[in-house]
Amino acid sequence: MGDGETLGAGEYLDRLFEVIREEALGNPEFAARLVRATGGQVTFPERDREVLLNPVDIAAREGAEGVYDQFASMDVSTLRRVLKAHNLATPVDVRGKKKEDLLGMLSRRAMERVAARSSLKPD
Amino acid sequence: MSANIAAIANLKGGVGKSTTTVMLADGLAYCYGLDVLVIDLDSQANSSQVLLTELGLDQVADQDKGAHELLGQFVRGEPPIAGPFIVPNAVSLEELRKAEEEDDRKGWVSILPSHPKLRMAEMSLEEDWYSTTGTPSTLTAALTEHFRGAVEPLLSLYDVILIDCPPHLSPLARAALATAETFVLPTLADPISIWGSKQFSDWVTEHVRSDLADNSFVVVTRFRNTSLARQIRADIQDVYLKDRYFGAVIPDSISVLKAMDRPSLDSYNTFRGKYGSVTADVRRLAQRYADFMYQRTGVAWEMVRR
Ligand SMILES: Nc1ncnc2c1ncn2[C@@H]1O[C@H](COP(=O)(O)OP(=O)(O)OP(=O)(O)O)[C@@H](O)[C@H]1O
Ligand SMILES: [Mg+2]
Repeated sequence: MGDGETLGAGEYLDRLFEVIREEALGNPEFAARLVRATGGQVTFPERDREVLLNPVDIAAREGAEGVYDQFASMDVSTLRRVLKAHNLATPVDVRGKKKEDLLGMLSRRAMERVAARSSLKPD
Repeated sequence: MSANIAAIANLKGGVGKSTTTVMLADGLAYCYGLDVLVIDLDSQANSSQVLLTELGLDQVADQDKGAHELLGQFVRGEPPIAGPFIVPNAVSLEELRKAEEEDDRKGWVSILPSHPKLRMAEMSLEEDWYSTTGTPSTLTAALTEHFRGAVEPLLSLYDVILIDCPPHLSPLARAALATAETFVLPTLADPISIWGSKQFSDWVTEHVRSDLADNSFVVVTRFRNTSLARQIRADIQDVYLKDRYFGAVIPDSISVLKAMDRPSLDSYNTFRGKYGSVTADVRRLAQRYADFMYQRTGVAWEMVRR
């Protein structure tokens, strides 16, 4: 807002939200956080899902079934990559496993990690 | 077979005791096919957590296994027996698991694990002991006797017993130091750590083991190859901890952090897969320890895997 330019509240907000909107469209991770903050559900195009969906995060929010549902559409090689990327499995663990086994492993181990690593909360 | 008992110890916290314990256990079991027992005496339970995972820690505690049970046995005045509190399988290396499956066991890792429960167990024991006529010294002596008695029958069952010690000198920690034959001393190459390592070494020499220097195996951990670190490393070797056996240098590496994060209790990885870019360093650590032992005992361990 240089050179003494002044903006009305409406114009100011328009510009601010435009920046946020642009960022959200180009940065799905940011978009996910924005929508999640408002309590909504986010959907991602298939090509972004592998990078964006964090199984442990989903396990914490939606439980084992949530993990299963969110990853059920992925193929075997993508599931293997997801398991390894989040250190939920080693290459030895995923070798020769069928899709159902990998999905089961993903949801079980994501839940295991949530259970093991959540701090005690006051009731 | 009579196991060598090593304490992995330093009063300084966070110098890599637990990490070195795990790397040495894996390295000796993998490279030399040795039967290794890890005894975790730190209530932080870090090496137990690394080998068994967090969930595994709770599971084995529910099965009444762990060092706190050994303390309970002492409190009840029962004879020292550690066997029932040991978790026989703490293997995470695929090669070892596979050999076992094919009935050709070559190298194994077991653990007498710790659990955060150990902290309360130690505190209440100390409180009770001191509330009568007991002193820290008499408790240390009594615990040493119990601990030695518990370890004695294990000597014929394992090749190496590695005790992961806590960063303090509680009576239980001192009992461990008094039971060990060799001392693995991890230290960082920074001014505060080497000062601390020297203090610790001097204290143990004066109060627990006058022959500490001859039986020490120094490991420089989390080493960053800078000129300052190189200078300090030279100082450790030539000045601070002169005349000790220099084990190995473990680089500061994300591969170490990854290796310490076992995905699940039923997860396995190959030696190379687990240790990634520090594989050669872990192998060298094991080799140097084998050389150190050969020098002390004349017994040469045979390398079975590379
Ligand atoms: N070579 C390494 N490279 C990178 N990080 C390391 C390395 N070795 C250890 N660390 C990290 O440094 C920290 C301290 O290591 P570790 O827990 O093994 O030390 P410790 O001496 O057992 O600590 P404590 O005194 O609390 O028992 C840990 O967070 C560990 O993951
Ligand atoms: Mg430790």
